[in-house]
Amino acid sequence: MAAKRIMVVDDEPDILESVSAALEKEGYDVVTAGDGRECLRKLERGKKPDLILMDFFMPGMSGREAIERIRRDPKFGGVKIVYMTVAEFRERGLQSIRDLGVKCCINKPISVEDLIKKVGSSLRK
Amino acid sequence: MSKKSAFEALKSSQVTLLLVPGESYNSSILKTLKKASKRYSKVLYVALNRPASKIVSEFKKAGIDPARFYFIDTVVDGMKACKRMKNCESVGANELVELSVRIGEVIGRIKPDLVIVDSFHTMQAYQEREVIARLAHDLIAKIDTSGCKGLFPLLAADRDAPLTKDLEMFVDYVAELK
Repeated sequence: MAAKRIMVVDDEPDILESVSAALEKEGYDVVTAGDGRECLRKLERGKKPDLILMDFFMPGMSGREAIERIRRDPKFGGVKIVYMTVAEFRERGLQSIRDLGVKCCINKPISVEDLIKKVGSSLRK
Repeated sequence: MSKKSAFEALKSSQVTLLLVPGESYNSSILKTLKKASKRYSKVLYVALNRPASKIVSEFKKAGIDPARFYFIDTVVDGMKACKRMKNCESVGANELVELSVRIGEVIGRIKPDLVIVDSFHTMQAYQEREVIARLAHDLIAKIDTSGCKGLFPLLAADRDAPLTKDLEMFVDYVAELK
């Protein structure tokens, strides 16, 4: 069976590197993007990922805006999305996250154990 | 968007984003502040649009007691006047780290009941949206810790702007003045 494909979107190169390394060690096929715009460009051109790990605070286009655009495009239907952020959303924000079908949030600083557990459970849902 | 009035929203929510019509921006905010100043005895006003000295003269005309307010003035034109005021300190609008630290320090020192930032959208002239959203997020964490309330007015015309949508993720309520 082909490895599940995960796109990691974050403007911090260290996070991209460490999260990618942890996921690749678990056998996932990982692609990265440095911001919301690059994420959308790579989605348009490349193979559809099974799951996107999305940062919130990014220059140019926030994770929220990137997720809204992904959800508006039927080509990307079925792609699972998980936030990976330092942001603490209030109930209103959490509701809008649920409305966009975002599976869960991974809090920064990232624990590898939490990352692997949440990625695995989000892919199974 | 909202069925509560701005003042009701402020009473029932900890952090409120307030959409204000552009044609009556100053007068609408003054009306809300007049009510708020009767309920809240210490208000921290972060002035990003207009100098604090100008806001104080508007307060006096509107019958609002400026002594209940403490100002952080980021408007270059207001810095000299701010230095002459007892309840005002100035920070350069592009010194965001300094601004964030100073807001936190003032919240800790004067223990306000209410913090007003007027308005984050003004900062877009010289700061990235991401940086402003981070500042707002950090400020809301400080508001949470101190237990006071936060009111962030912005132009109703900016309701669909990406920064507004980002800020909505961190507030309890979005109210709109008619």
